[in-house]
Amino acid sequence: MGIKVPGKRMGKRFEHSKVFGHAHAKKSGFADLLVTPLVDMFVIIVLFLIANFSATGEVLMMSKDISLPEAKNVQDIQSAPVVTVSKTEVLLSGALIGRVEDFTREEYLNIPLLEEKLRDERKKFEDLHSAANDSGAFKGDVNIQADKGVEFRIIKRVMFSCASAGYGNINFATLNVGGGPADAPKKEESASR
Amino acid sequence: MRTEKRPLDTEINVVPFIDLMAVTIAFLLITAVWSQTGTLPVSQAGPGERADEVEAPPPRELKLTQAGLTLDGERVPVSELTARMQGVQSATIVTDDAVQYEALIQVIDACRAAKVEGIAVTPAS
Repeated sequence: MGIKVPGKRMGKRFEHSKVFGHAHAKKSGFADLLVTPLVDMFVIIVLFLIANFSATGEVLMMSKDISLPEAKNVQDIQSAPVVTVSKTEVLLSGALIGRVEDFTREEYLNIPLLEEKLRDERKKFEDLHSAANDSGAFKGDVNIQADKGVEFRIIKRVMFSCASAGYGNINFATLNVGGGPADAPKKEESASR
Repeated sequence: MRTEKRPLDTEINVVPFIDLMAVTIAFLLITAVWSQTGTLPVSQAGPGERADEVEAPPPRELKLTQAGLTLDGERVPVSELTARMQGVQSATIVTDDAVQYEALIQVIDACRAAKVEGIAVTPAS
């Protein structure tokens, strides 16, 4: 080991330290912010968000008391009236129709209020389209968003009400757990055309 | 006449670009749909709709009760349903009142996996 000058001898890793290091070099007062990594990160985030951007938007309002069942072979969700059936209540597009408890006790085949509201909705749709001279025919799509624990006796009444109000195309909303894209069956349809 | 030499390395002004990125990110984050949802379309056989009745061949009948699933009277576990339904055109799921919605969805999902076109749900009795 060589002979060293006496004095402060810090470890090698402190050589560049402002406090323990060697005599300070005069640095200019301007610190340039490195924007390149920032821009890189932004570009990646934007690309990721655009990749899973959906133009249909949120048709279903997710709420805590409804856990949707899972399914693999699903279709893309269409924008249509949503009948929500939670464990306690039935709603149409967010407006309360009634309580599940009452519907379980009753012996009717349908839910009169729901049917009436759906008829109103249908009339509104048709009025709007005839006013705009739009040939878009009423397809009768309706989405049913039900909790997985709901009994079929409620679903049955909701389905019957939808059918008698003219909404024949009933769609059960589910969580898509299949790895593939949600519109897989649709693509086959367009390919066969 | 003396021309002044300008430096060749120019710098692109990235500030507006970063602004644009920040606004786009904010917009996309707000409009993003995080839960992947889909729908299972069904038709309703029975009092609501009568259009499908003329269709041939007749739909296979699946009976779903709390005790389990039967296909044309024969007991079938849901896991084997997809294999059993291959080549079937249409099916009617006769569902008992007490059956949970999740069980019904599993059966519809299995039928759709077997490319069954017309799936109808109808109440028992």
